[in-house]
Amino acid sequence: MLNEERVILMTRMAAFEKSEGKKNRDLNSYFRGDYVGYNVLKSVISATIAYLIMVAAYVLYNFESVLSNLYATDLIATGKKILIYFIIVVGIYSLASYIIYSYRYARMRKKMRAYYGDLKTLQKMYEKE
Amino acid sequence: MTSLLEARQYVKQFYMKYETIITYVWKFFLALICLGLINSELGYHSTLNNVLILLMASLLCTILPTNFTVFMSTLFILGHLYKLSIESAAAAFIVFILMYLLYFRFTPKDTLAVLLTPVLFAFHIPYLMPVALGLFSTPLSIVSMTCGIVVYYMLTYISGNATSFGGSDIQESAGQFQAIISDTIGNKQMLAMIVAFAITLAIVYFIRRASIDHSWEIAIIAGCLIEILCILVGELVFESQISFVGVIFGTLISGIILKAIQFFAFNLDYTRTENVQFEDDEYYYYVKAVPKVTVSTPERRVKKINRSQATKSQSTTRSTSSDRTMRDLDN
Repeated sequence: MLNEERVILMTRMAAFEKSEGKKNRDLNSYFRGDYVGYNVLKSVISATIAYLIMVAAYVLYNFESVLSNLYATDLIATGKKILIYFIIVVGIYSLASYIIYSYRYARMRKKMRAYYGDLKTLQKMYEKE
Repeated sequence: MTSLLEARQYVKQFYMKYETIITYVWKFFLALICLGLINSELGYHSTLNNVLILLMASLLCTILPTNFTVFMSTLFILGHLYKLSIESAAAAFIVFILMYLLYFRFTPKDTLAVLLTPVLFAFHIPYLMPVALGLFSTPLSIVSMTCGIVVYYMLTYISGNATSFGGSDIQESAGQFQAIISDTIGNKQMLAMIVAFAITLAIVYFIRRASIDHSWEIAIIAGCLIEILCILVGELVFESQISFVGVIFGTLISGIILKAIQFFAFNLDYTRTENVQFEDDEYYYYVKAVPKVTVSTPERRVKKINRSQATKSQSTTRSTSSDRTMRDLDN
């Protein structure tokens, strides 16, 4: 016999699994620290690349003045300035991505908890039979 | 009004029935329009202008995720610009790579907004975008929309000054690169558009989220009015030379389109038919879960008979049947 209630529950769970479950399951295989850390690391890398591109664009943009003042500039001071800006940019960007990915992980856990709750209900239904 | 409601029901059912095919068709035409527009606006690379390549690329975009269309458009733009001059390609490449690296890592779904904004600009109805995003998305989409606006104005600038590009030595190239960046950033019309669109999007979003009756309609109307007002103020502040008649007509058309979208598509985003398969110890289940909206169709059919009855026997049944009709219309 078909248990209607069970079919409804299973359908809901299958629909969840199909739409969000896969993404959430991938996420769920990480510990919170690992997941957030991994993504912040990716953010740091992409911010570094973006920063390098921005510096290159800046040089290209001010090509003439950079070229003509090349020997007059204090290279160490310029290097320091570039480094300080780099730390600021990467710092802010990493912090933002830390907040975003922590929030995403928390949201995913909440959804997975509801899913596990459904699983338990399903198990109880089987035990009743 | 009744026939409109029936039309909506029909469209809804049609969409639910052929959802998969419609998605493919819409993706194909989206890709075709985007890539075709890029070809017609830039079109410096003769190989990319080939119709066969255009169709092949669109077909590829159809079967792959929507983000691939964005990727393909980027490739087409860079290909054309590279043929024109390396510095314009470099400027576009920098803008694109910064967008991808810094922003779209977080919101990969939002890339469609970047793609659609320049397309709507090309169709002279960019005013649709902030209101539509305010209705269907979050204020975060302001960033994607702004990216789209910047891309559009940069490409317009490059294609408008195409003859001046193509220097031989590196210093000349650097000068051209500088011109592209500074003229794009310093474009006052672009600034006015960005500010006006951002304000509109935020206001539409907050009105739509407010718990008042007809919040969608109010949001659309208020959004259109605010948009016109913001662009007018932007015009006065930045002296940006925006055609004001164009703004009013464009916004009006956008408002009508949005109303149509809202009328037909209001429920479609939230309720979609689910086809799922699973099994337990005894059965395999192939379940098609249909959202309850469609169930109301048979009731609507009854309403038609009521109306004809009401016209026949006017005095006796009029009040009850018209009440019922009203109730049906409300549903």
